[in-house]
Amino acid sequence: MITITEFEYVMPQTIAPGAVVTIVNEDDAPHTLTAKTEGGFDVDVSGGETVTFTAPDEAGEYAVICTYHPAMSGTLVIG
Amino acid sequence: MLMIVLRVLIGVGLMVSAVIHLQLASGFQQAAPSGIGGGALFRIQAVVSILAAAYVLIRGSRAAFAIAAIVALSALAAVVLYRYVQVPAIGPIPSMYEPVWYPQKALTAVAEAFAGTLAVIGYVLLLRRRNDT
Repeated sequence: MITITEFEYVMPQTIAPGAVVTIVNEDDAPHTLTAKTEGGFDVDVSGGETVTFTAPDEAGEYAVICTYHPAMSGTLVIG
Repeated sequence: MLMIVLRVLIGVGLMVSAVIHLQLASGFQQAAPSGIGGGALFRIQAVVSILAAAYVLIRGSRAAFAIAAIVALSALAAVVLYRYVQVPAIGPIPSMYEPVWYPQKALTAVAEAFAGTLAVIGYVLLLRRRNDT
């Protein structure tokens, strides 16, 4: 599970390739979990909502940002 | 009686804006950390809103209506500007571009528009009364 709280991503150390991942947004503001690389994932999570998305099949480290709040960033480790 | 109703409604609008800014402040310190930080700016805005609300509720003078209008409409201008324009950091003011509306943000904009409009109406009514006497 990935939690977004106080404009920060709280991510597990690793996520299995292709796993269905829950994203919980504890903030009032909406956020996205967007891969910085072209053609990557882009998940929108409204304030206070929970959504799921399927992690990439390819192992590796994916830099992520929130497109609404570019100062928010993190690394999603698939492996 | 009309002026008392106006003052109360303006006070409520400014307080709604203040409370929402205080609620969002800690997150926006993370989201916009440059300069003094978005959170610090939100807290300053909230304090100024509370002071303007108290002033218009206690005094009800033209100056009080004018200050309430300036505080509410400047806050409204800021939220609309940063929603649609990617303004860079300017001195201590961080870049707070946030290209999305959500309930709390929309509510604070409506409250500021409401308070600002009523404050302008109150100011004009007092000005007319003064000119009539």
